[in-house]
Amino acid sequence: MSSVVDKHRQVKSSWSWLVAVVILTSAAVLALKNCSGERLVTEMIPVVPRRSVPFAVAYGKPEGSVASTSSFIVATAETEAATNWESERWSNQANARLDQLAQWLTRREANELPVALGRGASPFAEALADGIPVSTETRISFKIVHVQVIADGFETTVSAELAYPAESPTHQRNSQWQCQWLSQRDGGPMLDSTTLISSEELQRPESQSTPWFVDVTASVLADEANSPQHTTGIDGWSQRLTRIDEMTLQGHHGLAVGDVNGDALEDLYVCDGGGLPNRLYLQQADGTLEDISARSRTDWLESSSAALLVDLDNDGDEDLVVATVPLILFSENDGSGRFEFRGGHEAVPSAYTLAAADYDNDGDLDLYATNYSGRAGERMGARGFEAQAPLPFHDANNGGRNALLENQGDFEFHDVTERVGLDANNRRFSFSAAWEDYDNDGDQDLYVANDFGRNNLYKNNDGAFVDQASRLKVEDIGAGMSVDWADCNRDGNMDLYVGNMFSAAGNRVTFQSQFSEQREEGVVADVQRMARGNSLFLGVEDASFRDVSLEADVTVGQWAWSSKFVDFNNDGWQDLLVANGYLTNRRPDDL
Amino acid sequence: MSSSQNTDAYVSAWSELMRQVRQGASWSGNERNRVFLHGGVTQEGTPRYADVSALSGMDFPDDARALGVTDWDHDGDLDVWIRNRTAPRLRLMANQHVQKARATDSITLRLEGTKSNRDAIGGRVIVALKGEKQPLIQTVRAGGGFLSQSSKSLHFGLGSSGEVIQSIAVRWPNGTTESFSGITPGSRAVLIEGTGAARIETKDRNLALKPKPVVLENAGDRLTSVFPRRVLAPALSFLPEIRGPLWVILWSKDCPHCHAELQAMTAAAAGLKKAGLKVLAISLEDEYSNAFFKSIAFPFPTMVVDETILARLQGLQASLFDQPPPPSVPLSFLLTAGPDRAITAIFRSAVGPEMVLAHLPLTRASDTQLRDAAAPYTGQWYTRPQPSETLSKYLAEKMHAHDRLASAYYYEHAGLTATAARIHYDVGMDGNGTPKAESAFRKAIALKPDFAKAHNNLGALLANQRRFKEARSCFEQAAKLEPSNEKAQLNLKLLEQMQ
Repeated sequence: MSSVVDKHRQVKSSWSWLVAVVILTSAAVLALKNCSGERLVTEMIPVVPRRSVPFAVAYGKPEGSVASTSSFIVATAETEAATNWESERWSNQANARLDQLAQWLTRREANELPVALGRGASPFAEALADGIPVSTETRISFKIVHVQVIADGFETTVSAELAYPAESPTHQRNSQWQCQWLSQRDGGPMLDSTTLISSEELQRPESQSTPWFVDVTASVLADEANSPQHTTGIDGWSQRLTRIDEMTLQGHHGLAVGDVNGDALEDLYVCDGGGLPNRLYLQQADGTLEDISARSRTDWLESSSAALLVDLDNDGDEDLVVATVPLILFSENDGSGRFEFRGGHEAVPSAYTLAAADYDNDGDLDLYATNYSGRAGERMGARGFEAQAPLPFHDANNGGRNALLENQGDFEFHDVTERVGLDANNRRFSFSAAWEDYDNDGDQDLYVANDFGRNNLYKNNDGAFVDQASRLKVEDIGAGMSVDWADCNRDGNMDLYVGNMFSAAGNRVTFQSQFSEQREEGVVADVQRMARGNSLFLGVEDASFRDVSLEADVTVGQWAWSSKFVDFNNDGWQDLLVANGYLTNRRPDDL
Repeated sequence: MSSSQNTDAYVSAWSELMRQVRQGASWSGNERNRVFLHGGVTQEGTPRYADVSALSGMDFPDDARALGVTDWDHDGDLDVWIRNRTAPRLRLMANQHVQKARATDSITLRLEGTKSNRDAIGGRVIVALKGEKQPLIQTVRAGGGFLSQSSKSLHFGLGSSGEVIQSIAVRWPNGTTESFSGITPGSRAVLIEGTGAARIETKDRNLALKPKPVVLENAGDRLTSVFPRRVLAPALSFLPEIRGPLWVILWSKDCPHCHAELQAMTAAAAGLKKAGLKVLAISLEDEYSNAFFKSIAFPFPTMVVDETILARLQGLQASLFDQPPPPSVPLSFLLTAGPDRAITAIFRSAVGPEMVLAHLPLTRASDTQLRDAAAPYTGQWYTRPQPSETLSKYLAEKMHAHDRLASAYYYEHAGLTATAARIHYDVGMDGNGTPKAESAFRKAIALKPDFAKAHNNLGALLANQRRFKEARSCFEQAAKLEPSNEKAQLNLKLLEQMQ
């Protein structure tokens, strides 16, 4: 069933859904040859559709244009603008060249590639499109992930993704290339030659008429799905609803799945920003949802980031926990999906991710809540890194305080963070946490993902915690956003997938000499590591871990949020889903 | 460069990034969700994944945040709820692994604790398959990912090559281990702690959910923003005295929507008067506007301001909205009846008289009513509305960069008179002896009568204007309030010499 993928060899495996060919060609140099120019096409490559619906401006004055800066570098306290670095200038120009190439590939207006692209362009185009019908129906995207200045020019490492047809693709080709460019005084760089580093090709079996997943939202949510609450982006809502009621632009509002009325069908609780009610949707026998937010008394208008549906009082129904700005609030289910507000706990204001487990094995559920930078009692305050700048960027421990709340019964919770040892390394701008008994000793251990540098793995010793992240080499220096556990290689040990930030700009810039010259060696390595992306740590014998992120090829989750193990083809092996993207806005430029 | 300079540059770099975002720039935007397919493991036990994002149907550029994974329709494969930042903000992605009948290559198990916690969170299920060396293991979890809770039911894919279940064991959170039997591929079962018997709940639902994405066309009335509190508006302090609730519109000659709006208000003049709503039109250009008003016989008062007023109002919007709307006209405000005028609603488009009149009751509404009116949908609050002092303090801090006098006004309202005095004093210091500076010092002293420096500096300003008598009393006040203030003593001596 499972196919062993052998390096340096072409392996065909018939997975239940996809026919995949993984070619890992190391340094196969492509011969230079002329482009055949056979396939003529006439349209632009499809552009990314805008998903956000900003409010229309009846009559606006034109905005001044603002030069784009490289966010990764600004964030690392660079005083000079990295955009002025030679390497970044070349990268931008090479990007423009690759865009031209992509346009030419999909349009084929002229038979010959523009000479200005360089003599390497034609064979590169040929190789990229080898054996696939490149046309206006093809989606091509390039990403420059490394730049190296050399004599007469520079080299780039380029990731190329081709998918077609553009709407609902059936084929996908992912390749990585080493591209040599000749720098020109005028008119931008010319592509001289290209070398294939690796390539993989995937296609949907012909027997399959749809993509893996199809969007059925409106068929289960009917009118509610088209309610402006869901069809307006947070960028729109934060132009209409004020900071007075805590509407903010980050859009950190999650959801929880659980059965609130005991009918064995899952229901859905959705969190929203301040001034917008959270929603509880009850699943009906036909799979559709009924909005019972008001009837169930769960339609809180306070800004909410996360929720849990868990049985806090062991009476057989799912109670509700919601992370709001002032409180983590508790609401008791009467069994029918009607809830009664039972107060809350102030230990973690503006909490992000919540995770429940019985840490002391006393038979009731305790709650862990991450606190990025929230401050007690503060209303209308700045949020996120605007509340507190992380210092230092690659190893910040000046954020909010996470807390473990121990269940005392009857919806009473006590903050036991300090007593159980969880206050160590506990100011690290934490986005997420997840429980798992990684060492198989019968109690629940805790991994915490932190935004600026090191993460925590708190080993539980009968209710007392010790941070083992450093010793077990799972500190995972990076911009930690999420964490999930599963046994993805089926060896009986739990493995760890951590959502981080993959930054193409960060990968380019932090490897430049201008960057390293001004910093200590260890800092350079840490900051480089921060741009690597998602991490996969295999649990191995003796409760330790092995970092296989690069070998497993799971780093490029981009600006990853929830990054989750899901076996979506029922083959018994855990696949991965990564929620992606930070702030999509109305202007075309991206920081 | 010193490390504190480094830190300052670093902190301001963060603000700069967010400043650009608030002006409309993207920050790692338009990125698509990623999907990695497991391709088996190497002999060393390392898994290999292939990027199948484009084929998955999941690769939306939605600024996705949370994932809720569950077999929603009970057809034996895992579906996914996605929560996004941009619209559509909620999606249910139905897995097409099984399109017609129920899958027979998976099982779904829900644990129920009796001695352990009822949800059996922390419980681990071990499924051994015939012919497979290693069992499948999964643990019940609640919460994780980012802001997400997936189903607490465990879903085991079994593979398609006829793998058969050999045994199922549960290690309950309290440490006891228990075996369950009678679970065949394709079933859903509940495993209750201590019973040893699985309760089978398999039922064909045959939902066949239809592909139907959300429709994104609905601009609605979202250009209108009702404020959840009355927002004092010192930026509008230039308004002439007009009694009663007031609707103020800013307009420009190049804006056809503005013309239409002013014409509509003219036509509705009688109705507006009857309702008790006053109207004032503010033009951004001097010439032209009078001619236009004359041409439509505009029956309401008018005035002209320069764009600095628009900029100050934009500062107020930037303080109140986390994603400030771009400056635009027509821009109109519904204000409470004086004397301290407060904004209750803002309209960023031509709205017509009916819309404005519909909002008129808000000018007399209570704080609780206002907060409910501001929320676009019904819902419940467990907090009380923000106290007006909290709001004023917030606005004071936010407005300082845009408009110092407005900031001082809000500080005064928040009861922080010393801070307000300090800001007026700073304005006075920057005023270079102008009448503006004089009034700023006087305002500072009025707010903080023991403000020795303000007395002294007002004295200096007056002395320079040869208003010696007034100056003397200022210096004397300063010297009296702060005997150690050498400047005041020195000034008194200088004053004697000058006279």
